[in-house]
Amino acid sequence: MEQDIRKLFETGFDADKKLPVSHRDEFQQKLKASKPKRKQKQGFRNVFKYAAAILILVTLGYFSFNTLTNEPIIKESVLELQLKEVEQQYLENIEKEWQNFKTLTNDAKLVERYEKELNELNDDYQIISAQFKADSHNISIVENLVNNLQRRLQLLKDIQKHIKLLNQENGHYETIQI
Amino acid sequence: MKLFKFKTLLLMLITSITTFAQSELIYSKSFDTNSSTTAIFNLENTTVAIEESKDNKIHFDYRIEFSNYSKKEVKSFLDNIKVEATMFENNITLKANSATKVAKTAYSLDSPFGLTLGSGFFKTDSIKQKIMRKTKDSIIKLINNESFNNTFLKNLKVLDNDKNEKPVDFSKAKMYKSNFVIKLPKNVALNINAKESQITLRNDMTNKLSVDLKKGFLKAKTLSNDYNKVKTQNADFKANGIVGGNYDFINVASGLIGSVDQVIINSELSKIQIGEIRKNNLITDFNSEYWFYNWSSDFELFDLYSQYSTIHYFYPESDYSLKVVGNNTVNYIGKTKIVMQPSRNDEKFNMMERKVRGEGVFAGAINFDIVDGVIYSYSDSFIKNKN
Repeated sequence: MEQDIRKLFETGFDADKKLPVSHRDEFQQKLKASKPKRKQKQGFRNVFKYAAAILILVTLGYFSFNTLTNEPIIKESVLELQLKEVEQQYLENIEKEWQNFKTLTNDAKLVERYEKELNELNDDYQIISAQFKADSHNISIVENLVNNLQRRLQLLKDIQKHIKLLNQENGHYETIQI
Repeated sequence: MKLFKFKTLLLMLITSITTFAQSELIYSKSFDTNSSTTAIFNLENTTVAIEESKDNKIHFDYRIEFSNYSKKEVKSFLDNIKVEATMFENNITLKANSATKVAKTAYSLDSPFGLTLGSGFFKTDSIKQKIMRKTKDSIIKLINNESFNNTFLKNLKVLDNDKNEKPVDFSKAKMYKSNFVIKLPKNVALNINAKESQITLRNDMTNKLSVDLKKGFLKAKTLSNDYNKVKTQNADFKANGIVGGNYDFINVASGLIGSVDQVIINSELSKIQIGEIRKNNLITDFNSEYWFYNWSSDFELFDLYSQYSTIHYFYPESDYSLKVVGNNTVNYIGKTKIVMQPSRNDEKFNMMERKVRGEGVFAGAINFDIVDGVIYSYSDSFIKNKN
């Protein structure tokens, strides 16, 4: 099947051969006919482009939104600082009331019982504090912290009030008939 | 303009992803039971409601409803919860716990400029309230009052950028509601070992009950069984009525009982109000505060042994006898104050007595054996207050 290209020019190949008159129209028709196909492809491509863009934006938005809402630096500090201050005040008051209580009574067993109870409540407080550090948004944990401090102080105030009533003078020994 | 619309739409889309309400099924399982079945519930940081089962099966159904939580946060929350029920030789054991406390309802708040508590919340001096006789029904009403009355949440404020306090909009806060319902047949004995848990018994129960609860609360209708053994420590206790059994209350800051009937109570460092004292009860106490508001017309015998206790005692309506023996006790009768100082050698002596008058029905005998105590006797004329 090998041929000499020079012979081809000599024999049949007409270099001056002109294109048919309808060539341009035919070409345009073919071009029109192929348009729908190309348009469809482009449409899909655009959908994918928008979808990808939305996905990226949504992802970015989601993470940036979550990062903002979870940012603890400023939001937490006010309550945490306030709690620290309150804790300090309560602990000082508890210590003061504890010392007052010890001077008020001679009952060593009573003091021992209170010491045990207060130590248990203090141990509880440490556990709740650890929970607060792990989940400082949880309001019920904050409530537990404050309740614990209030309970300790109230116990000490109640027992002192009780002892003060007992330490009053002018006693009777006879039976009261009612 | 088109760009603006697109951005708005996108923001709405993001918001709808991060804030939504959803109900999650945590656990669901049922077991057949018979008259010798025992249920053992080991709970930690868990809230449960126990109801009567009508089909002789135990049903566990645990759901949590979340509002304004993201999916990621819900997942993280649920990952901390472990629930499993198993059956072995007619014992059904439930283990339910969570790394952090799962309350009945709880809020988690975010605020860009912080949160604060109103200064009123931290007042250490309690408001002195006039003590009045309460009816049994008013105590039961207090027990069953579900209205929102959380002073802590009421005092919680949001700060704006100028540090001004503003009320919290709880509808926008992250919130969950835990709904763990256990249906238990009447003939199944129940043992509960619980820590930091909120337990509600929604129906009157005759099941043999053994409870050991540390922190949280136990709330019940009427518990009737002579073999009941209930111990609550640093936990609240509320019951419409308790009939039979032994109850230990240690550091119960809020105890409300509609009525007690044939019950033995051991208590310390607690505050307990009792609406009505019925037949044959015994209380042994160390340093608690009790309110005995009413006495049934057939209470027969009531014994109290106590040290460092404060007793608010309202007279029975029917005829009765009263004997107070002890030592070193202060007695307020109405507005009269009588101080009974320690006797020599700290011996107990007969401090106060009321003999039977023989008028009408004899309701019973009250015996107080009290050392280092304070008794407030209220000589009211049975005015029923509005509560």
